[in-house]
Amino acid sequence: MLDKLALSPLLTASWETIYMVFLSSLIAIILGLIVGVVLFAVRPEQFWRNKLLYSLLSGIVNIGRSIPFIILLVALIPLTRLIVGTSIGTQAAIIPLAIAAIPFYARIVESTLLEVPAGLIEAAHAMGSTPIQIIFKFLLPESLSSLINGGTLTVIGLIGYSAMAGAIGGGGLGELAINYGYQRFDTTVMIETIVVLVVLVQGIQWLGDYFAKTKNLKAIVIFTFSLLIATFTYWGYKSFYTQTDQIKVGIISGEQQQVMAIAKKVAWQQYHLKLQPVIFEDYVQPNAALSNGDIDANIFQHLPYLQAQIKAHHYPLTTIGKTFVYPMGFYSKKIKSIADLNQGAIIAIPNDPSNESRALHLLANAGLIQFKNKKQLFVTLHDIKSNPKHLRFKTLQNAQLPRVFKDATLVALTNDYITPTGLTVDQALIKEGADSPYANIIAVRIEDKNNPQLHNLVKIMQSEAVIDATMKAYPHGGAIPAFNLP
Amino acid sequence: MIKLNNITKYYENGTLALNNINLCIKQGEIFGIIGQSGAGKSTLLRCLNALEIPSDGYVSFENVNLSQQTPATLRKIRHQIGMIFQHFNLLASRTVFENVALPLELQKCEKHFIQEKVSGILELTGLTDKQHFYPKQLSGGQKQRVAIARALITDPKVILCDEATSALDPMTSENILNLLKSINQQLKITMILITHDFSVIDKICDKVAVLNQGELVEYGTVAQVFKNPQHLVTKTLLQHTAYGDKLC
Repeated sequence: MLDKLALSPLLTASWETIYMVFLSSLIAIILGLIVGVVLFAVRPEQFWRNKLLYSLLSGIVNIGRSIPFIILLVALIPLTRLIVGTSIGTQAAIIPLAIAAIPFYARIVESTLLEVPAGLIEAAHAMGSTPIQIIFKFLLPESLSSLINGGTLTVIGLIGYSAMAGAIGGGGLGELAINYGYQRFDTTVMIETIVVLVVLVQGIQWLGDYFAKTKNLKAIVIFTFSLLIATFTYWGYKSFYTQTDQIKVGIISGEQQQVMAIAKKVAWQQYHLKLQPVIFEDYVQPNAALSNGDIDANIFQHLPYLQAQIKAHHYPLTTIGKTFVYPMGFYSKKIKSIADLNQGAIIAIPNDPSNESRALHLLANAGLIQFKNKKQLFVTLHDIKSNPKHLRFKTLQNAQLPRVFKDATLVALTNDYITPTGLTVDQALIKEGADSPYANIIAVRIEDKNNPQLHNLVKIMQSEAVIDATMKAYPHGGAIPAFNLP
Repeated sequence: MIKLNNITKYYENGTLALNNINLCIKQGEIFGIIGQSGAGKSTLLRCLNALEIPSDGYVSFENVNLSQQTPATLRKIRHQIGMIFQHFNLLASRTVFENVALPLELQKCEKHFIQEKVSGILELTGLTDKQHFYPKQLSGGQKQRVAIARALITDPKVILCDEATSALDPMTSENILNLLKSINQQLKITMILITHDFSVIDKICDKVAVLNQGELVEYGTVAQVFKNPQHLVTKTLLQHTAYGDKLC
């Protein structure tokens, strides 16, 4: 049953883009038309002249047009939650997209109506038209072509904006291109995505030109309604498959997506539970989304990070289980074993506080150094009490570490920076084990601490199939289960 | 029928457009108002259907003071006053038939009634074979015929003509003037036209008023004014016309 939903990512993303852009365009064009007509009609030379209303409306439109879209996206989160009930996902992207486009289309409408000859409006008055008749019998029909062209402009503009919807898990082609093409150098996906986008834009332009040329309102209405029906069918289809036992799990884009695809299968087959992975691009959003209820759990961070976030934002979050340690290790291209370490050897470690502490703990566990306070979790170079080999520490930026193997005897690397060195995780001279405090955890809201379904999630994430998938995604010991193996 | 009582009009920037104008237009007349550009003709004409409201004085249309009406009553009065323009002001998005039908649509008349009425007027104005054309497919003269048909469709008592023939060549202009004249004779519709061209007045008007810098300088039957112009402006306007040649 689930397989029906598992369309190709490109197809899904294309539909998400069409869906987002269509609904936001529909809202933007209807509301933009109203605002634009009012903006025109309250101008000092027009029939509803009203200086105050014009300045007010014009000011709001200008403000709306000057706010960068990505800021608007974040600023509108409360409104979005009020309207669609969530601030993440494709539906949530529709509200900011629409609101960004309303002022744009309103200005297009206003300037289009200004092109209607003043004599025509005078003739309308002379015929005894009411203001409403002037709008519907004169202004709109006379400027229909330009209004449609402006609409096409708005829709294509929204396709560009929709690429940024990825920031709130909106999906769509833009997100696909950024996730795979930009961040993961998957050229094939990027080219496919761009081809689809080009075809989409060409198609919309062609359709817009056709509508503007024929001014066939009936065709426009039929077209709009068919897309509306498709949209509602999609909603119905989606909610039918996602109605019960659904858990939304926040993860970071990348290898985790492959692991979650397996976890999703396990959840359905063994627990009749539907997992919905929600993909994030950064490390701040997943905890914010979890604490406001947009997702039910997240799996991307280690405990020290969660604790720091709770301290900073007072999130009502806790942890209900561990997943994997993605071990930090010390690597060398000069010596084969720790035993060969010379007196006064140079040791390169990361310079950010969290990873510096992590590297020092690793050396302490190997017996190379000792701290003043053995139980202290967060340590710096100043906390070292004894250093019998007189090791000389150099702290560097993470990205710099893979480049210093010629000058340092030991280099501390996290998982992300091993590949450029040509080494693999199993070649580490020292590395973290299953007992590392930096194991990734499953975070939930405190109120859900005893939710049986979330405990099922823990079992799923610790199941054999998920372990296998993780080992495959992080080969050569790049992931170590941080729990008792089943 | 239409009376102008001490009409004075200031523009928004404070300049005086019309200064204390008194006129009386009788039922069935063709009344011409002539003057150079900037004389205030357009403003005066627009006071007659209350597109402009005088700053002082008032226009009475069949004994109704146009300055004291609600917008709704004014709209009803305007249904009895047709207007045609120098640049025709037709809707490019409507066919000839639909353009002529528009004023009836605004009054929410029945479709059947509109169909019949429009066909009759199109015949009267000689447009029957053009009824499915769009304005851009028509010549200037044909467009003005459509505008006249549109003005006639509501059975108005008065038609206001704003430089109706100024954008047309002399031949076409003559055609249109003949059409207006015959409408006036057949339907007894009062016509008020403004122009800067004395030949227009000469061809169809019964009475004429000369306007200069917002003031009414001469007023009378066409024969009186043309044969014996009093004011310098009238004389200037008459130059290079048959009358002007006689004067010299």
